[in-house]
Amino acid sequence: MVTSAIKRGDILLAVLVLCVAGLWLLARLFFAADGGAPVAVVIQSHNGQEDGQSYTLPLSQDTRLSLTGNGIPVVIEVKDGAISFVQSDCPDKICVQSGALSKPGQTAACVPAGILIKIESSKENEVDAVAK
Amino acid sequence: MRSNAVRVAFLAIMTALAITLSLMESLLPSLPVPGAKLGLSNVVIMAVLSPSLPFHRDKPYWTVLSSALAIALAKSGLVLLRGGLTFWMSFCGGILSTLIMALCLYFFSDKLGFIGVGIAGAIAHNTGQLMAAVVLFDTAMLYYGPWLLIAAVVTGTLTGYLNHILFPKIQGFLKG
Repeated sequence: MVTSAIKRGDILLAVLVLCVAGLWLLARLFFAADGGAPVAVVIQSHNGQEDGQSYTLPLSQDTRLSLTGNGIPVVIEVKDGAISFVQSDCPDKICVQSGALSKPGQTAACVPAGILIKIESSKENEVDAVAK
Repeated sequence: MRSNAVRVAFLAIMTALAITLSLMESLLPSLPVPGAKLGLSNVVIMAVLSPSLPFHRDKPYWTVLSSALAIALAKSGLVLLRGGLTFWMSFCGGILSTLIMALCLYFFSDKLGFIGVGIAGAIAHNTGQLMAAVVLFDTAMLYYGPWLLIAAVVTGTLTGYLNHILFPKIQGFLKG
């Protein structure tokens, strides 16, 4: 039985999915939060439940933050206006490979340790602060 | 009777293969999208789900589906050692991708080849994973959505093509 490797439906599906991904990225460009210096928010969740442990770090100031989540030590570093996981004892090191974040919306996570970094624009943060 | 024994043996080998492949895959260099994987064990699940396997013919399709789901579950069970969220992400991804691939193979096998099924399965896997991360962790994880979709097209094409090559051999082996 010889059939061709690729069918028309396969190509259609691939193109459709790539279009959706492209539109998603475009929409993000258009609705990007503007203004305000970006700040990094580090959230430590405990088995999926955010129990309030969060740290807001300005990207303008170089710092190092050592945390332990689910028994896994993790080191986060702010350097040259960007934040990244620099070290983690998790098995797959996806967090460290995620690289440095500096633009609002960017996210990196160490899932085994339950630690997440996201960049927000400080404007959003001010609104949050007022609302609280 | 004999065919039943062959079926059980075949499924056991496939389960072992799926687990081994997903373990081996973690040794490969990682893809540029964090969290994206090649998904070699999806090749195994895709093959098991194929209605044209000889011993599937006289069985209702839900038994085929439940065998495949059991393999997906066994694969996630291994990740259970790594703790909560990692397990749920693997579980949701594995189950959703198995269900979607079954749907594609059962209803759309005239329109989709293994490559299309592979892409659909990869998208379902990444979507399930991301949904678990968004619900149990943080909505900020959606940042990876579009990149995971693009990655799924690439990895799904590769796994689908692999199965396109391997499936006739599996079939021949079972017949012989």
